[in-house]
Amino acid sequence: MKKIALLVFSAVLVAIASCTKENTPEEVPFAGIDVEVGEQNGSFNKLYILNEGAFPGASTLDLLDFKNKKYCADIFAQANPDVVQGLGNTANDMAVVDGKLWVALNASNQVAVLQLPSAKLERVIDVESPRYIAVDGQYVYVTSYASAVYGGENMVPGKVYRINKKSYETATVEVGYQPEGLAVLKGKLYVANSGGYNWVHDNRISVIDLASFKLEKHIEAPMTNLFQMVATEDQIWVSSYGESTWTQDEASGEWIQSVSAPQGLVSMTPNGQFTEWDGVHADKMCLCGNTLFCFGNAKEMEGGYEEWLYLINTNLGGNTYQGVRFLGSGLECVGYPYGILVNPDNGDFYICDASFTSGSKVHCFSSSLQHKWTVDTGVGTGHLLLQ
Amino acid sequence: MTASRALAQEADSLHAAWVTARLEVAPPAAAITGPRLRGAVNLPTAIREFSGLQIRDYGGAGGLKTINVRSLGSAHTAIFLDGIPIDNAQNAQVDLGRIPTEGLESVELYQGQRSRTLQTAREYGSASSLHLTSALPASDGKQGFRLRVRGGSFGTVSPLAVWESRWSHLVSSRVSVGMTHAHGRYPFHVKDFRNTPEGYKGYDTVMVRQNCDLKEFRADAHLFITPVGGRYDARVSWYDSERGIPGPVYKQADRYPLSSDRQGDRNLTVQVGGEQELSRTLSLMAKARYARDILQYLDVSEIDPSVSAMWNYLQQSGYVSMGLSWKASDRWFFGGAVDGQYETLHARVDARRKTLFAAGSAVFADGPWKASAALQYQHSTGAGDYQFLSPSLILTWTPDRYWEFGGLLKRSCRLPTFNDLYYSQVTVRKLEPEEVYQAAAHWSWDRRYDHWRFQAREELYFNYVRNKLIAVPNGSLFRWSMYNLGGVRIFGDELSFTAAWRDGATTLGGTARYTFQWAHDIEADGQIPYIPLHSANFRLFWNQGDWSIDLQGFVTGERFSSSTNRPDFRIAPWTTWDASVAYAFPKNGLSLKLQLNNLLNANYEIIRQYPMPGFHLFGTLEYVF
Repeated sequence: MKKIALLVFSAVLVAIASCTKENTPEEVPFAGIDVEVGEQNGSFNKLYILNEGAFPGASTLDLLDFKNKKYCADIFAQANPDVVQGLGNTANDMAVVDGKLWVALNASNQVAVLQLPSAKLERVIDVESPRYIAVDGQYVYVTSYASAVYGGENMVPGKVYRINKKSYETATVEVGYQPEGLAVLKGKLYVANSGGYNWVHDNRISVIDLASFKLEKHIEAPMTNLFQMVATEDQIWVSSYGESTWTQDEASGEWIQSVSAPQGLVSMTPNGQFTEWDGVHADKMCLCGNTLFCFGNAKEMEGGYEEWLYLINTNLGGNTYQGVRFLGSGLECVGYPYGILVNPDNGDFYICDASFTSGSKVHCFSSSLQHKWTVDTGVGTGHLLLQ
Repeated sequence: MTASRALAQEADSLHAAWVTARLEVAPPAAAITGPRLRGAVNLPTAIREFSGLQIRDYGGAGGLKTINVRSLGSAHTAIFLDGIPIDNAQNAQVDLGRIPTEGLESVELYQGQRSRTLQTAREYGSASSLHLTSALPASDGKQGFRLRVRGGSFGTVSPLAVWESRWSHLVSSRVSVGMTHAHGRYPFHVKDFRNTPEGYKGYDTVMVRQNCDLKEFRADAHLFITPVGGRYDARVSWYDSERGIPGPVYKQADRYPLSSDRQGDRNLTVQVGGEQELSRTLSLMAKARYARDILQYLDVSEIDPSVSAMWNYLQQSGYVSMGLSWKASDRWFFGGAVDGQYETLHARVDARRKTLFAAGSAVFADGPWKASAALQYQHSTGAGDYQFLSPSLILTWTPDRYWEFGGLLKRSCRLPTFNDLYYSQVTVRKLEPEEVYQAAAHWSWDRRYDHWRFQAREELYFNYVRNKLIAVPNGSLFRWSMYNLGGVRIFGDELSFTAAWRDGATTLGGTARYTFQWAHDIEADGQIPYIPLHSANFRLFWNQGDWSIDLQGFVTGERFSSSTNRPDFRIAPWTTWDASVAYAFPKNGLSLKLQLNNLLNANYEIIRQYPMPGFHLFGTLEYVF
């Protein structure tokens, strides 16, 4: 089993398609500490690391400078010492758009746009409770919880913000409840709605026509509490937080929570045909080339906690995937996986090992699941970006 | 020294069973009594000078104030009002700011537990306990009235009326009614400076703490019956408040407030207690309490104030305890108690918990030696099934009138709260109790020379915490999980020294206390959050006839908001100085007091993102007749 897994992982390395990269080797002006992170990181010089912070603590942006082997913490404050209260709070996503770094700051109700590589703050855009970012053409799209509050009597639908890359003009369109991941496929924007603030969770995927920026329809997914989303050439991939229910034991009066649906994954064609990936427990995902990396808790239904990493060749159907249990593999050192990124150049992948009470870690693994290095990061490390 | 302790020390000469039942093997580690206690703005202010004790203060008039003893967290300190525990099954946090001090005789902090043979079983199961003891009313007259009004910063107006009455030599009562109104607003600084290639740069901005108003009303009626060899009391308390919840300070888009959340509380408490000597060797104790707490939390969207969620929590708790103390010989005393507690929380998910506590203790006293060995058994059902044994051993050696040496060994726990079990958890997982192992030793010295009195005390301790309960968010804004994660080793040293000089109407003195706490998170390999390695406080006092002047300084060393002690988690050290001047008019019962707090206008945080107020003051006018 393990051998097969290793073979598949090695195949991934070969199969990985080239992704965008930038090659401007210059001296990074940030102060940092020396770290040992190996020599081979493909052609990437930098790994940006976004720390969400303790809720609702200050989020920080860190930089792992491969070239100079330096770990530079809180580069936003280093670059913008006079910006009051720093970057902002509860950073939920980041994306590079035309050489600028866009950061969604959920608790601050802002999206910050930073120049790269200086990390100087260029612009702050007001976005209500932003969550995830997608880019297409002239626009940056951001999902927004709008003014919803957890358990609110009036359910407030979420929004998608469309922000012009150059003028920063915004427009919004209403979607489902507490929209999370979003992805663009063939002129449409797909949005995963969680409904996580409501008693009954949402199971709808909102489809927005990009040309008109109007909500076209809602497609009901075969699971609820939708979370992450990525798009391959002809499919949309959606993960789910899973579902839990409470029941009261008659005899003892004790309330018992049981998981009624585990963290799951489905793929969908643009015309709404779903493929359910039974056995794949997807929490966070990263697509690289035609390989989808995702991880999740495989023992949730039994009330346990056992993280697995799953690899799916998105070109192959038929519910074929490879799963590796963290425990007992090279991934064993990961305590609490919270984010994943694959290096398209060399097949290495990085896993955020988050802590919300103390510093987190980022571990690097080779495509054969060998641990390569670990760096100490900030609180609640959840998002990574290679440059 | 409190009246009860003075009694305890005279136990051998009196030979009364009730008095020996109240004999304490180890005295409290710290205590505050009398007018200083009653004159404090609130309970946290009165006790914050205690060695090894930290007040977690979220700032402002209505900010939550909890106790943290020896780095163990608030859930490990049991708080007793006249021997009956005050609990919070929902989150194990008791807001000390709501407990009035005006009717109290003493507040005593015991490490381990109070070591009497006649006490509740509950007493034996916490790492430390804070005892609030009510004063007997009108001890010097038949009737007494006290009217007090306090006002000052944060728009505070706080009137209080107390009526004390002695109906016979057996029966007395106290009725008090008080309220507080405050807008709560205060300015604070947000600043951060750092060395950059272009020089030392940063920002320093003044903001105003908003949405921290407080309105509270409380009424309390307390009846005492004090026969020879016993004491009985019954009490009804009502507390009603509404406050704004300012929330943590973080970066928020200019157009939105940080928080518009509101909280309302209505609490009713009824408690009765009695202790009575039955014979020359037997004493009996019975106590009961009923508490009904309604908490309404209105979560208001900061983006659109018309969007909100109301969270209603109705918590009820019933508690009964019975205990017996037996003086087997001049040297051996035995005690036993059984408590039952039933707690319910009615919210979106109902929760209830039934707990049985049974405890026995043996006390040995011979000459300079005193020892207590105790065992508590706890069985809790309804919200998880937990059984736990808490053994403890307390020893003191008093070789002469001046010196005392002592030691403590104890294991105790705290159960997962309803919040831990139901409101933050999503992944089904059996949570274990958080366990504490304590070992401590102390010496104290107390000596008078003519006009002088000197007191010194040192406590050394080692605590080990395992199965710490920690909340972890599940990758979303609405799903959290609780884990039993890791352990903490705590080594501490507490030193205090007092010198006082007295001649006639003049008393001059000072106290210095220093606390060292190495509280090491084993997993993260660092000092645990919010615990300073070094902290100290100083007090100078001068009483001259009708005048009294008090100056207090608090120094807290650097701390970290995370167990990973990196510079970006560092919270700067802070120092505050408070002064008070009081004058009592000699004949007409009027007295005035002016309290000046944070004299040097220090800008500091006890909890990260919760700024504390700068300079502020309160004036108090009191009329006793």
